[in-house]
Amino acid sequence: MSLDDLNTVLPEVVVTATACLVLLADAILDRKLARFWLPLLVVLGLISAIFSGPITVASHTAFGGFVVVDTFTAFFRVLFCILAIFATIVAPEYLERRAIPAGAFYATILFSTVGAMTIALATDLITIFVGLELMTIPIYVLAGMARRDRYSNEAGLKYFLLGAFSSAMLLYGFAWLYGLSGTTTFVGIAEAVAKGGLTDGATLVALALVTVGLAFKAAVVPFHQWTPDAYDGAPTPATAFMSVAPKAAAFAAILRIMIGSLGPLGLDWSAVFAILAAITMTGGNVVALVQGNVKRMLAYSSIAHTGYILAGVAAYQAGASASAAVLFYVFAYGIMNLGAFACLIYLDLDGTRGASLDELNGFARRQPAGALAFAVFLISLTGIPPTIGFVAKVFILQPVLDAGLVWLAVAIALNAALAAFYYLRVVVHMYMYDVDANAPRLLRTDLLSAGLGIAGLAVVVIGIVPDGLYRWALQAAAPFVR
Amino acid sequence: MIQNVWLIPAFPLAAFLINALFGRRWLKQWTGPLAAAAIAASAVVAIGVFLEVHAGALRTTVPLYTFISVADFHVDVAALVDPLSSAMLLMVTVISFLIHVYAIGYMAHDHGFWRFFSWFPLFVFAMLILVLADNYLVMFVGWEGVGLCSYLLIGFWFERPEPAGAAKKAFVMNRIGDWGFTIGMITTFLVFGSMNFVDVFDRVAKDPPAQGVLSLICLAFFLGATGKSAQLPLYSWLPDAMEGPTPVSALIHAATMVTAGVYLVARSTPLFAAAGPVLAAVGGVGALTAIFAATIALVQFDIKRVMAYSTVSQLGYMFLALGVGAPIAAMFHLITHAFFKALLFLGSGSVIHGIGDVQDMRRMGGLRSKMPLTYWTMVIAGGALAALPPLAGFWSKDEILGSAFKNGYPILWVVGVFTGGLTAFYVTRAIWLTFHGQPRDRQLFEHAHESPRVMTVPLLVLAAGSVLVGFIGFPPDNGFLHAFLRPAIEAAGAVAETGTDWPAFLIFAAISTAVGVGGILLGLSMYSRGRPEPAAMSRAAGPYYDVLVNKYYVDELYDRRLVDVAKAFAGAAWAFDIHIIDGLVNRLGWAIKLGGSGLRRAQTGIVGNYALSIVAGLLLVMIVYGGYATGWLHR
Repeated sequence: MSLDDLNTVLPEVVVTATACLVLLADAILDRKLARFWLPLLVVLGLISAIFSGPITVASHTAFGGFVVVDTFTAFFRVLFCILAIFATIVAPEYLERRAIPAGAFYATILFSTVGAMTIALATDLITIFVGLELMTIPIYVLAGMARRDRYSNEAGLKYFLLGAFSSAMLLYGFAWLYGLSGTTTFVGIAEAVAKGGLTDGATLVALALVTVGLAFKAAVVPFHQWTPDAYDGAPTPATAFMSVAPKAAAFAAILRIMIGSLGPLGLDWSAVFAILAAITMTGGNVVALVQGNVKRMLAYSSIAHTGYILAGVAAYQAGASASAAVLFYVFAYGIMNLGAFACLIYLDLDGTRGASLDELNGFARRQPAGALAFAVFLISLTGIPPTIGFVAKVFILQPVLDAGLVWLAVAIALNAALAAFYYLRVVVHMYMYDVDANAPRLLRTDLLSAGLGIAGLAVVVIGIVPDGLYRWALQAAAPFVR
Repeated sequence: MIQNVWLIPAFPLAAFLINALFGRRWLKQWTGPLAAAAIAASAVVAIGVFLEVHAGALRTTVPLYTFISVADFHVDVAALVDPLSSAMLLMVTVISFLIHVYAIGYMAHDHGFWRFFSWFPLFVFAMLILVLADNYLVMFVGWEGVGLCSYLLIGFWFERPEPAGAAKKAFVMNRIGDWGFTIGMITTFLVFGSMNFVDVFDRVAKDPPAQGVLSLICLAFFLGATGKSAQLPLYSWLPDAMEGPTPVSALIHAATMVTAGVYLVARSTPLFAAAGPVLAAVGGVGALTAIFAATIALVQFDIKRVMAYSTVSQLGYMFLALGVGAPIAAMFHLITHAFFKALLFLGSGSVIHGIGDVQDMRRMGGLRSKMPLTYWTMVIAGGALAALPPLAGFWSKDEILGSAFKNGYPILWVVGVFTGGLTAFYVTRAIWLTFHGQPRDRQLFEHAHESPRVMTVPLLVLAAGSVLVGFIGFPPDNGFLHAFLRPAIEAAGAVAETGTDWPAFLIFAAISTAVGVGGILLGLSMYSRGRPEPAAMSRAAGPYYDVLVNKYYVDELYDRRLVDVAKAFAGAAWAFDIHIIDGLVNRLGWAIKLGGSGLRRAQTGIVGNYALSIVAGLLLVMIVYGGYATGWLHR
């Protein structure tokens, strides 16, 4: 390991160091100081991590070829850091109210972020597996962090058990791939599978195992059942983070593995992915429709969005625009979905988890700024202009059509219409219904409002001026174009 | 200046953001002057742009940024600055500025002052985007924005049920039109592969698509135009929109919103010209709307409603002009109409303001002595509306009628001339009932007062405009405006240059002026000397009068019949939704719940079942891959 190697992964080093510093500071500082300094330390650390790495670079390998830094890596590094910053800003007031140890919470988020960033660095099965585990194990902890809340415990445990199960499957698939090709590098595997094709039984098993393992991480139907329980039970700021960062990382892994190393089998897996995408978006939306609890509804909606993103992956034959659409959508989804979950923190008073639709009645009058932000995120999740969610859907639809998957494009459009019903129903409850007479008083949450305000503004501004982000996504997708 | 054209919408947008964010707590009464100043700044830039276009910059595209560019779908947010758009920009900003100034006085005592001056500049912003757009998609953004702002402003006094209902009606009717616009836009993209004006018009000139497709596009766009510009059959929201504050009415009727439809068709002249028969339909609908609305205006007693139907009627003239292949005449009338109609509205508003929010002309009368300034400016505007020479309306309306005749539509000409007589009559009636005769409500009369200067100065400026603006089209058919606009429209080969045909002009002018004067004299005689007695006339007209008073029962038709049909449809859809869709969904949810509760009974607990489903999924995936590998399944 040379100094150059370390320098290559400087952002990851910075985030790790920040996490350690946070734990240290948590032990040293007294309560009052910690309340102010810990989040600030996290945010500063993440911002310096963003700026310690290159934004656009030609591909650069390190650690003897185990790690690569290219435009793709740069894109995801920035995305993960932004999501972690956002998750940190919305959390402090909640953590204090629920007496969840703040230092541990922030450090866990940071460790998970390092794992996610590692996935974006991977050129090798081993790196990617290390990254996946480093990302998800802190998430299990995060889900169960409210120790005295049995739903939180349930969420943590379920997620852990099923996550371990699927990791084993993925690892087994990796083992088969290694057996096939004698190497763990993506390039080597790509060469090996290109020769044999799918007719080789071993390749078939490997491909199926890898497909399922990755599909679990991204919460693709029918491998999604952990999602509602885990998202619903976890403390809301944790839900907000775990609904976006691991999913983004899962898609980073899917692009790296499926296109980077199993690209020669693209015709086969893309057909399966197209079917899975349609099932996922429909399944998520249909079940979301009947949810009365908004937190659970958003959990199912996040499954539906997995379907839309997966459609972009399935359209990979359309070329760079497909991968770029996936990256753009993942970015858009990250901001709007984290924001939507975070909006529930306002209502997360004692003894509740999430909010029923009735609890949201007249929310616009009780908390105008929060309701406006929530409405913006929901409109964006629906895919109505002028929001980032709308342009993200446009970017997905184009390659899907170019790849000749007209039926999938129709499915996306129908699903978007279906989803409008349950998203806008929340807006109706917030704006058109009167406040319940005995509704509890909302607490002051200035930091949360500020964070949501910035995110809401970003959702609208990028919705109006999306081209810069899209160009960047195109650049980031370049490593996958031949 | 042209490169800075984006400043024109930027100022109102900034005013909107500042007022909306800081208006309620901090700026309060300063929101009005701030908004007016922003529009003034836009107007200054618009003048600069106009002069530069006049100096010879015939067509400039000013890109702002790329909205979406993916594969072959490419949309730029860019401004198309040509004579057509620069003339519109100038008109919109100048008139809007005057209305903003006036509104500072009119809305002074309203508790929603800051809210009003947040939406007001936003309305102008949306209109400016619509005008500046260089493609249909960006135009649609402005189009929708205008619709949204009109909803917010018509329903400004939403505490009362009527404005809220009127706002909803305007929104729904506009949505019907927007649907047409959307269809037109999508078809345009499918046919031409672009939504950019320049590209589309070039394609139409070089390689026109099938007549049927072109007609479909034009009809769809025209449906959109009838919604925004209140033409048959989507006109009835406009009179109801009078429920909004009077400056809003003035803004909707003169500078923004209703001119959007005319602008859309004028902008799309190359498409419509190539589509042929559709163009004639545009003219027919315009003429029909003109006479239809004018007859209703004859018998209304609400001063603002008379003006509203008058607007519908005058817009009909503009579509008539577009339909007979005289887009320049349409634009000319659009500009002159903006001045005198803004003035009529603001004058009506001044009256309403002066007598304490009364709009019924039966309670007015004799106000001339109390409000001399309002009276005289209203007379000028009324004269312009009645097309008396040499006021502004005369030149533009005469040109429309002359073109109709010369281009081979004598029936439309007759309808237009006759409508001119009706117009002269109803405007005479309105002014007489308001300002002349004996005060019919003593108490109102005693308290009547002239409006403050912040309101009367805009009236004077608009009055000057109503006198002078007509001369931009002088000499007839060959004036400054014609020379200015011709390159924009001629580029598409739609309009040939013609000199002034003086003898024809004089004959047409004489006929329509005679009819107009006839209308005025009839009105004067009926209302000043009581001969023929209005009551006797209405009795003699009997059922016809009732039909007019009830506005041809169109609202009733729409409400009772169409809305019933719509409700029946909605009911059926609801039943379908409840029984079939919800039923399905509920079944599904029920099935899931049942499945869940069934599985919960098993000792392993849910996690195990989740794992089971993962394994089942894995097997399915393997089978599918195996199918692909063996060729048993097709990809």
